Amino acid sequence: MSNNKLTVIDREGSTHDLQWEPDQTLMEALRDNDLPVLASCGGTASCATCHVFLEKEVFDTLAERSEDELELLVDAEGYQECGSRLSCQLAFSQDLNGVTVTLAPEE
Amino acid sequence: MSAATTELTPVDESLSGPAALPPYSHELAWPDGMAPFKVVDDGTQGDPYAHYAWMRDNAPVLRAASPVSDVWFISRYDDVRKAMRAPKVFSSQVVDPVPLTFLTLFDAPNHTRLRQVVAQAFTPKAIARFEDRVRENAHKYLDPMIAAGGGDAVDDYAIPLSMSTISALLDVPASDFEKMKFWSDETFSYFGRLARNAQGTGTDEQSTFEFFAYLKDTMERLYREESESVGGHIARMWKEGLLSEKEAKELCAFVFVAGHDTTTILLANAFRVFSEQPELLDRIRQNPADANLFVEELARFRGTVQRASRITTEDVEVAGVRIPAGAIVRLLPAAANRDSAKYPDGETFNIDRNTDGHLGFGHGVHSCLGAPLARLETVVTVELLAAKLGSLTLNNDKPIEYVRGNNLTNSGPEHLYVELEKFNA
Repeated sequence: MSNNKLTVIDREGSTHDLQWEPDQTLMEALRDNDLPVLASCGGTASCATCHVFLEKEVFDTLAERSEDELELLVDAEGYQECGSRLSCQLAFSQDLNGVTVTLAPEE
Repeated sequence: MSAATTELTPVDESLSGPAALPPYSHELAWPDGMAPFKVVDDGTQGDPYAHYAWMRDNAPVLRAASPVSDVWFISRYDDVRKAMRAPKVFSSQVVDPVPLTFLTLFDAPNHTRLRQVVAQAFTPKAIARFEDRVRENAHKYLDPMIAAGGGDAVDDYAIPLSMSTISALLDVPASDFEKMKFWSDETFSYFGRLARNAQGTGTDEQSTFEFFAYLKDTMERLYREESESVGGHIARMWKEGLLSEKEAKELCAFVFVAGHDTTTILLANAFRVFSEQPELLDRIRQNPADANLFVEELARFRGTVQRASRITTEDVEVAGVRIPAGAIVRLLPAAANRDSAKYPDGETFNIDRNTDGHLGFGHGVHSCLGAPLARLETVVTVELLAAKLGSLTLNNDKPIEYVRGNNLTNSGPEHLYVELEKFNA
């Protein structure tokens, strides 16, 4: 399986083009490419430090957020009902090739 | 109102007046032979699991008196997990202003800022670079023990392995283990005194500041040498004005102390579990990948960290008990991890169980920063013990000595004497 291409807009508005490898969650792709994603809980959907925004048309194609994920997101800085995701909960999928992800503000 | 808070059932003042406080621990009818659980208690700190079982069933929110304040202990899985997911209600800033730059003492935004300084060094990808060195050191410390027919799993193996590993990561010389261990333990005691009303050692403050002075000198050197280590990175943040001198040396100390003591105990407990279930030596020798199952179950069953300190920011109801705002709380992850409502037959070590969601490395924003490193050291150890040993038994003449007093958060062996026999294929 080939890598996905990924565009990331950081908190200063700068754009980064990354490779998203098939064995990575979106959070791991961001973190392992040195973007400032703290991912404090290590990917267990128990903090909101890997919060990102997706474009609505991409967001709408994804499975619904779990109760655990939503519980944290609604309380997170800048929560968007139709855009906020914990990036640790997004597994690699070729359907996500070429997506643009925006890092949410830090708490 | 946050979702997390809603789930924790905040108290509706319009419907209820001031709630009665629950009885103190010492006022409860504990079973015969079991002393009431106390805030400072050498006995239960060593082996707390019988008390935890009783608390989960009879007092899942236990109020204990101390000379300083009441302390509330929470022991059931669901309650501990919920609290760990709600840092705005269960604040980590138990001492204000925060006296030491230890990550466990901060809430956001300072927790986020300071953790970000060191987080990149502890990702699984970054830690994987240390695997060869950990494996090499593990052989180096284990082989003489096997040749001698056994020894102290703590002094002869776990301390040298954990200390050499964290020292390499920080680029702090570990040539003088005795001195480093003394400073590390004293600093942990000082921290426990500030954060958890522990008794201290009488010398812990002075030793801690000696340790900080040593770390300052070390960081000066790492900055000059442009070290790529975590210590070098912290030193650059300091020299570039992103961290104060106080923050830099204390953060360095935190990484050292947290990376050494907790892992030491987890490694020693791996020896202990093998002595209790010797058939696992064969199984893992034949299926080394099962070492991962062993380590996750070990973190659930005999995780190191017992008490996570919090202070409530509002009135909150947990397990039907109203905890007032401003209450000092101790979350008990090791008690939660044996809750049979979450893990059936939770008091049994079973590497085939589903350990998902265990709290052995914490949960939430304060999850253990060094978990990937602790997992690596323990997996390597478990693989190596199984590969090299035909038998591992406790030395009947020398019972386990437990960690006591001081930091009041870790439980496990301070000395664990074992007899080892080499595996002969």
